[in-house]
Amino acid sequence: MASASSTSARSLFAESKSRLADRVQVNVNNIASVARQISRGSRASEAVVHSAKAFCQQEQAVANSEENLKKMTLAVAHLGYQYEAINKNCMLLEDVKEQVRAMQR
Amino acid sequence: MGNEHSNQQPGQPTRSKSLTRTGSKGPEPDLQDDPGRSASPGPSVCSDSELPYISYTVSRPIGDSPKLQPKHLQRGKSATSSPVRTRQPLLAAKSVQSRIRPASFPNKTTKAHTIVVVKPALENNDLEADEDQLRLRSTPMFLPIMRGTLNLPAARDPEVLERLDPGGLVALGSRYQQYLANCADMVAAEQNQLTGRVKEIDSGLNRLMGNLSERQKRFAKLAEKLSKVHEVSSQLNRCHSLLNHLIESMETLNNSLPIDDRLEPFVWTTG
Repeated sequence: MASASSTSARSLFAESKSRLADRVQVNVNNIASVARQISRGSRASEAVVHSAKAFCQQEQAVANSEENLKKMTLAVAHLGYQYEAINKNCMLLEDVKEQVRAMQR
Repeated sequence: MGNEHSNQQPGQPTRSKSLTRTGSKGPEPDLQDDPGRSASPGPSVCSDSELPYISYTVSRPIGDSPKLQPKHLQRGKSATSSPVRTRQPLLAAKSVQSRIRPASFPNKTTKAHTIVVVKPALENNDLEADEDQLRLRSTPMFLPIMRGTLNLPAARDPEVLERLDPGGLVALGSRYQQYLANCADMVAAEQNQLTGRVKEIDSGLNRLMGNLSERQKRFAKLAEKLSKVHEVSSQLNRCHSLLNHLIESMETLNNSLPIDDRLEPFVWTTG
């Protein structure tokens, strides 16, 4: 008798446990849907993803800038050489003027 | 929520029916509905007509030792196995795996020692040391608000629902939503600012590059022109030396002539 009642009680508890587990599952799913609604409703991920995409598209621009900077360093070096050459030639101009004056005498 | 309530109602009478029987059908619907809750089929004897696969294996034991059984079932169908779950494919009549596995049983009995273990069984220890499960178990015991829902889900729902005010939770949720939106907007605004700055810098650099290249071209031309000064000076030097040489040679020529035919001595005159 006792064993029969305990087994029936155990089976009863098993059913209520399963029902409780189902309710808990339903509640957990509801909480999850509420959380999803909060995160979707705030459009947080959309805004952040959008700005991240736009930033990623600037990568090409950044690469261009880097290339331009490298070219600029080269150009600056060239300009330095040209300045030196022009300077030297300007000095030479003075000498040439002297020479012409000497030749005229 | 309403859908879930209505789905539960047809499920309930079947469960109560299975309880009254306390027979072989008891654990089966649970196994069919929730494969996660795998329960061994109790002390009751299952009839052969309802579970054909058990009759197959009763007379013909699979393999030499019970250890081979889970390894056999792992042979490529499922990655994980446990001694409890191996019974499921045998009992569930609707799963596809059970249709495929009995086909491999004849091979198993003929070649008992040619088992290929794709992956060894998982250790059971991991299931109990799982962080999430420990945290779930450490939650305190509490009773549901609607105590009647344990037995009768639809009883006195509107009464209880009137007393429950969702306004607080709704306010909390909406505040959190607003906060998330604000944070995301701030982050997105700053990021867009950065993007704009990158664009500006890129355009500025492009302009600078254009200016520099223009200057470089002009300077190249100027430098080329001015380099002619060097040529001019060298040519002047040559002219000067040549003229001197010319004057000297003229003087010598003049002196070599007879005095009567000599010209006047050459003098540099300007103008």
